[in-house]
Amino acid sequence: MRKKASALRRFFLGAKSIGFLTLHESEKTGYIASFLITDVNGIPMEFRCTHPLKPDAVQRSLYGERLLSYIGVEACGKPLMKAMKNKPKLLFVDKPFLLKLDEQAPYPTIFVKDAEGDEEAPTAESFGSDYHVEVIESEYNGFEPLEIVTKGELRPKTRELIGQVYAEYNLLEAFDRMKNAVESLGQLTSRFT
Amino acid sequence: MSSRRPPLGDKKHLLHPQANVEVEAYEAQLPAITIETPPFEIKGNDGITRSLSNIATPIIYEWTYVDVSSFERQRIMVPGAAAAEEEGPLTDNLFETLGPAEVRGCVFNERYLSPKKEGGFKINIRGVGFKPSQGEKLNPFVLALPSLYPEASFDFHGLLNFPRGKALLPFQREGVTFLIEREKALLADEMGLGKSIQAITAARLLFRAGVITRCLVVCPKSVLTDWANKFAEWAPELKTTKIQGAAASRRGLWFRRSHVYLVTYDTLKEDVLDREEDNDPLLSFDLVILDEVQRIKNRSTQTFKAVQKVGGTIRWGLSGTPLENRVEDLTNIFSYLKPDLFRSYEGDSPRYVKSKIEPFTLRRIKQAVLKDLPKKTHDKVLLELGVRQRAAYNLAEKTGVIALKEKGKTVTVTHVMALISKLKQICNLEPVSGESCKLEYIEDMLGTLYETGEKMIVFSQYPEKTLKRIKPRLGRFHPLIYQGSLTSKQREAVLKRFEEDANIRVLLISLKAGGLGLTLTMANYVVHFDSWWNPATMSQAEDRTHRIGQTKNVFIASLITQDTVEERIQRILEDKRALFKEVVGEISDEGLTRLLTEKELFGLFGLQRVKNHGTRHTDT
Repeated sequence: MRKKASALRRFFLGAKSIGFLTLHESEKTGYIASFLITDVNGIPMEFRCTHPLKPDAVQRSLYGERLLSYIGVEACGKPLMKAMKNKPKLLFVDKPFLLKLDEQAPYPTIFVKDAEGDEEAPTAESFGSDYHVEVIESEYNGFEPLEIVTKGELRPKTRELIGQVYAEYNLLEAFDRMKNAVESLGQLTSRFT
Repeated sequence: MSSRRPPLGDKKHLLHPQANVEVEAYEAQLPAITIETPPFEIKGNDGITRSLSNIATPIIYEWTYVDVSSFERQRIMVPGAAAAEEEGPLTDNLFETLGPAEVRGCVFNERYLSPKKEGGFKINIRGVGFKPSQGEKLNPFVLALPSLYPEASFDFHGLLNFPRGKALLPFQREGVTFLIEREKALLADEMGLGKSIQAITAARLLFRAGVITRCLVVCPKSVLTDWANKFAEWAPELKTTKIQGAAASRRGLWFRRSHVYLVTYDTLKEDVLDREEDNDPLLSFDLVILDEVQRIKNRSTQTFKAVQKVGGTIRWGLSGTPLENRVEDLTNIFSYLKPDLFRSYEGDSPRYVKSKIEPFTLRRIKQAVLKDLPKKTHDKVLLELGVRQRAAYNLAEKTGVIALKEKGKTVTVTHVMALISKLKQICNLEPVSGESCKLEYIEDMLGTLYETGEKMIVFSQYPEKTLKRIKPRLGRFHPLIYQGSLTSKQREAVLKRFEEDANIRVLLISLKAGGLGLTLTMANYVVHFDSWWNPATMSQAEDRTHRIGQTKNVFIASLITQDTVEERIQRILEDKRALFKEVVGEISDEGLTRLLTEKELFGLFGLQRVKNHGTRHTDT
């Protein structure tokens, strides 16, 4: 049964790719955004990141609460999206403010978080009525249920694709890999510190 | 200080060379005017007060801007500039918009990953653990690639499935048991008995039992891709990484999270010999499998030294011919597999050596397992084009497809077939350099057969452009060619020599000339160097060896190059056969009369045949 389901999954997924975008913050390096595209098995296909942005005191004060959103979306997210050679079928983000990229992205942008963990992460209510929240279960591998937030209702095909991918691919783990890669880059060259 | 304001000229922006001060100034139109004293002093962003007296004259300073930081500027009013005094001390815009940020990165493609494309970074190589070659540029994104790979999962679930329609034969199951019961072992079955699938299955069982988490397979170059494909077929849950490509990209591959690492002996030498660390974690594996382990029979070679640097708790060697070699060869092989087995590596009697290695060695010959073996064993061997072959192939395919498109509505199936034929010939052999992954494969195979005295037949549909070109390269096996241009007398003579002369190990046959009517039972290894459209034709050719009079089992290998038109055609044919089998039931190859339709032929190159309207490119 499982074998049949896996074969079916591969048939449906074909050569589809998935994108992940996140913003890394470090006191020392500032803000670095990174974009990873993998195939449906998690194998990396393309990875790009920005050079660090270090806002000064004036910028911090004047951007205020909008600072993160501005850096994530305008200063980093959009240039990153433009630079990617591969175009993913879905874009997963792990920061709520990055959902704003949905207005620009030619692919659905989805905020993901562990549905049962991270109490500090924003709740469904905090997104407002424009946003759609639902929980996706991992069919085979038993990963933790995933809470996903999208602007507007999810299209059935998109929901089906997310379910198929999450069946065997832990989507949250990809963000850890991106963090490790950015740290590696910082160790390898001074351009990322 | 000058008290007279001079007439003003053009406004200029100058940068003070020492103080990082941007100066807005008006060049005086009276060149004779000299400023006696500095009009002011400024405090730079380093806190030091500097005089501006050394700025070239004649210049009248009106305003200066001290660049305290890139975002904050301080406006300083020059004494004597009355007009400005009236305006009061104003600041410039202190706010500078953030970004857009500069983006760096790369697309990952194992085969073509070029560090040069993203070069120009200064890399801290200590963090990488490899010594770079002289002048080599390293791409930090390639080096960071291992961090981006998913962890290899060890949570294996579900039943242990074997490839559809395939199962281990009884003697192969015994081989698997032999391996998993021994930490140090030499599996020395004769060629064709499936040593690799026995080792893969045994490794798979150890992975699933949690005994091992990292496995290294070292093999000859010609079978690297075949190993990867066999792992994908026989142990699909295991992630494999082929360590290949440019030196810089290989560094990343060694760090990739994977269950199994596949590397050739030559690459291992390049990557390992200059590593100095003892107990290098990168070179520590739970299981090391050395395919064609006779490659380490000589202790003085670099290959032996490289392998010695690899740590493995469990060590298995695979070879079809280790026992025919000198006693020292065996002791040397075991000096890696089981270092404490022999006190010295020379001077031991064959009997002593045999008795010592016996508990760790399993060898079966075909004759002994005849009852288990099918009379005809087919093996599809996927090979990877060499670097030059790949470059020539890509160029030929690209220019060929452009030419087809340019023909527009005049393009015919014949044009497509001509391109396929050209590409298949490159898959066989790169015409300029003579590089051929298929030739390397059969050379290795013939080398192994040399010990047993068995003979091989190689079929190709290109006698001139393939067979004649590979013949000199197989010189040590004394090859003969059988092709259509030979007279009947010559053909008879060729066959007679092949049958009677024990030194002649290989016969190269044109598929068209020798596919029918011959009896070639003196050979029991058949290689299809390239594939014909109709598998039935190939099957008839194989049957030249598998006829009355054949006392041995026949082993047939079809060589197919990966990521080429050969593989695409093969896939279409296999799908068709599978579909026929499912829908109609068992069929013979003759049943597949129309093997590839016109649409499928055009589709091989992403083209669409539009009747009377030429070709149309598709986005498939």
